[in-house]
Parts: sequence; C-alpha cells; structure tokens
Amino acid sequence: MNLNDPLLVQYLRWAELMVRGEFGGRSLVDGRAISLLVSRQLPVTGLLFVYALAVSTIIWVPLGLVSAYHRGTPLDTGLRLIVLPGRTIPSFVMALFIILCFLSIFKWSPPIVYTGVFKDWSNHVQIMMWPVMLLVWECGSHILPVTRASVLDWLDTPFVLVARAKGLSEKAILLNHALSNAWHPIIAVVGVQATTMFSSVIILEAMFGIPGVGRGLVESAMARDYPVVQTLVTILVFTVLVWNVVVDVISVLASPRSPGSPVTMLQGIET
Amino acid sequence: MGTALKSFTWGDPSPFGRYRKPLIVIILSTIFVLAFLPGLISSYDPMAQDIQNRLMPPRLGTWFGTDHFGRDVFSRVVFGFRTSILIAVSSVVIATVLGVTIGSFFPYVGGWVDLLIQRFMDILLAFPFLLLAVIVMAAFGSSIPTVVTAITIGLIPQVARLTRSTTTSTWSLPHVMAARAMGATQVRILVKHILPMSLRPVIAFSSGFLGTAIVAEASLSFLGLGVPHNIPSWGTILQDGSKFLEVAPWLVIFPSLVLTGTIVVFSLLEQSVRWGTGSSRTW
Repeated sequence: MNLNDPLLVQYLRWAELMVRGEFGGRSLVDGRAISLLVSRQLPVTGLLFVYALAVSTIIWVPLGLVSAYHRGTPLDTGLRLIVLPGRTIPSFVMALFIILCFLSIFKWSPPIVYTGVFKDWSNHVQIMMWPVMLLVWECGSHILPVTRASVLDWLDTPFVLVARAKGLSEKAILLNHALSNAWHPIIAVVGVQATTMFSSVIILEAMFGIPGVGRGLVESAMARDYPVVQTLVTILVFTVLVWNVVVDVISVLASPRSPGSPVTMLQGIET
Repeated sequence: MGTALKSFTWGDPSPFGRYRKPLIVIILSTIFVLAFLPGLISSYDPMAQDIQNRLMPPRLGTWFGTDHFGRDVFSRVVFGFRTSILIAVSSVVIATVLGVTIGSFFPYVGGWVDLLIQRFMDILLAFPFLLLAVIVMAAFGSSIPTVVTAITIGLIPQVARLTRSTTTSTWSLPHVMAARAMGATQVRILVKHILPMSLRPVIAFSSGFLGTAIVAEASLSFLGLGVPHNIPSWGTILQDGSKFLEVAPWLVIFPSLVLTGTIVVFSLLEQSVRWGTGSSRTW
C-alpha cells in the first residue's frame, strides 16, 4: 500500500486510480478489485432510487393536488395523516414491523437472494417491493405537503379567479393554471428527497439484503476496509453533486416563464 | 388530543393547547427522571444475564420479556433511553453552539476566510446525513464520543446556514448601525444586538434536531456502527431482537413502540417551542 510515501504522493496515486476508473485499487478484506465491487453495487442502488422516486412522484403529486383542491375537508386531513408516519417513524422500525407482520400472519418472508430484473423478475419485485414502499412513504411526507402548499399558493391568485370567471373547467384550472406554475418547489423537494432518502436506503438495503452501495458501505465500514469506504463515499458525493445540478437545470426548464420549457411548448403560449 | 392532532396535521397552533406549560413540565421531568434515575423504574440490571429464562414472553415484572441472554428488555429500554438522551442532547447542544458561532462570526470576518468556511459547509451539506455519520464511525470506531461527533458533524452545517441567513439580514438594521456609529466594537454588536435577535428561530430549529439525533443514534447502533455492545441502546436492542422475530416478536415490538412514542413526543415539544418562539413551520 506504499504507506511510507508522503501523503501527497499517496493522495495523487489514489486520485490517479479514481480517474482511470480503477477506484482505489483493491479491498483490504478479500483483495477483490474495488471497481468490480462498485460495478455490481451501483446499478442495484440506482434501481432502488429510480423506483422510489418514480413511484412517489406518480402517487404523491396528484394526491397533493387533490389535497389542495379539497383543502380543509376530512379528505385533506386524512391524506396528511396517512403521510405523517413516514416522517415520524424511523424506516428501520417500519421495516421490522413489515417483516414481522409477514412472518407471523402470512408465514412469508421476502426472498433472501437478490436477482436482476431480467434474470428473475418476480423475485426482483418481491425483494425490492418493500424497501421501495417504505421509501415512497417517507418521500410522501415531504412531497405531499409541498405540492399542496405550492398549488394552494397559485389557487389563490387573481388569474385563477379570471380562469374560473371565463368558465374553464376545474380540471383545466388545476392542471394548466395551478400545477404548471407550482412545479418549481415540487421539483426542488423531489431533488432534495433523493439525497436525504439515502440515509434510509443504507438501512433498508442492510435489512432486506439488497446488495447495493448502502449495504456495501456499512459492511466495509464495520470491517474498517478504508479503500472501499473512501471510493464509495467519493462516488456517492460526486453523484449527489451531479444530481443537484441536474435538478437545478430541470427546475429552470420546467418553469413556465422560461422560453424553452416543455410546459410552454405544450401549451403553445407565446412568450 | 384534538389540538395535538390539529397542530400535527397543520403545524399551526401549539400542540398542547392551553395546558401547554404543565404538560411541558410533566414531559421534561419524566425525561429527567428516566435519564438520570433509571434505577427507580427498572427493577433489574440491564446487563444481568439469566440464561435459563431467555426469550421469555412479557409478564408481570419483566414487562417487555427477556432477550436471548435472559436480560430484562424493559430495563434495557429504560437504560437505553439514558444513552439516547445523553447522545442526542449533547450532540444538539454542541452542534448549536458551534453552528451559531460559525454562522454568525465568519460572515462578520468576511473575505476569503468566510468564503472558504461557506464552501466547506456546502461540501458537508452535500453528504446525506447518515452517510456522513457512517464515515465518521468507520474512521474512529464505535464509542459514545464518536457517535456524538458523527451526529454533530451532520448537524453543524445546517445550524450554521440558518444562523448565517438570519444574522446577515440584521447587520444593516438602524439600531445596529447606530451602535456602530456610537463606536461599539464588532464583538459587542454581535453579542448584544445581532445574536439576541436572530437566536429565536435558530433555537426553534435546533430543538427539532433532538428527534433527528435520537433516530440517527438508533439507526447507527442498529447497523452495528454506533454505541458499543456493552452499553444498552435502543438500536442494539432492536438489532438483537430482529434475529428472533419468529420466536420472540416482543423483543422488537415494545422497544420500537417506545422509540416511536419518544420521537412523537419530541416532535410535539419541537412544535411547542416553535409556537412559543413565534417561528411556525413553513411547508
């Protein structure tokens, strides 16, 4: 490991390995190449994130719209109550309860061995379903209130009143007038959720036996496998930074005021 | 309960209604008793093993059952609360003091030092909270001071950023300028005029971190990276229990209910502090 070299030389050697895609050499525990480890773990965690974010956007944004439209009604309060446990109860407690319920009631437990989508899709769905569901629940407690508040802001504006006076349908008002303007904070909160969600991902991967980055990180941290921890952290933080830039770009593009935004193009509004 | 529900769902009124003060006193004294005199409530030593009576279901005396070494889970939960509260309070207090200092002092120093500190805080903010904690634990090994450090490092940038945003807007207020015109030193202005004005939202904000810190400690210990095994902690209790889900579900059910209840109580307290300091949640 050349520990006798000056720190700067060690650092530069490590940086060179990172840039060449060899990712910090080999694991201290079993001597496997870290690049191999990473190339196996990253896609799994990536899939977990894609599922969770896609499902939560599809579920919670429309529900936030419903919640805003029916503000103050039992439906609104009910939705809020459904979402709340996702914020209060730690994800590993929820996961324990889910596993416990399945074990004691249905005598069933999630599969132990992870398989890819194409290899055995039913096993894949069975093992990924519960962590994704918990992540979606957690996301909901942030996405739903933000969507609701943001849509409510726009529902109170004069131009929604004008739209209503013109006799537009409620659906058109909600979708074209309120939601298309309300995207900005929603995209921001989805972007932030993707990074804060990682705390839960670490735990859920370890609990459900999903061989992703989170579990890899915990295992190598316990084994004090420094090169692996270093590499994983570097890659993760780099991903977070790139993701933040992507979110910023998307939120600029989605703003109805920007000329190149898809919303503008879809509606055919002259800018 | 009605007001609690309303403030929980809408986040506006004080969660305890007109009984706010007595309820807060009751909650705080319960926390105090549990944290400093756990022996009053639990009747067994949390580490005493009794192999013959292992994995026993709950009954009179051993309210939460016994674990795989025959240790009384109720006592372990009570003593685990002490660990939790010790770690949570100390990390939140340290993070608030350091965060307020960094967030109020460096904007006043200005220049490249401020820029450097700001960028460093931005870098720390880019790390997901638990990831940062796992890194610290991996580097320094598991012990209580390390857990406190791990949680504190995650909290500091958030406090610093809030303090920065609340203090910088107050530097140009008339009475601050007047104090400067009268020849008060910068430090005096900072301590006498800036901080008293901007501390309220910061304190409300950091009171919310108590729950976060408790969850973080439990999560770290659950992963096996937190408190060492010879100290009872909720995370390790749940970790031990999760291996016996099928035969002894009570090992998991009661401790996790207590954990959840504690977090709910802490978030109600936070809400009450927010209400008391006039900085309601904005969502």
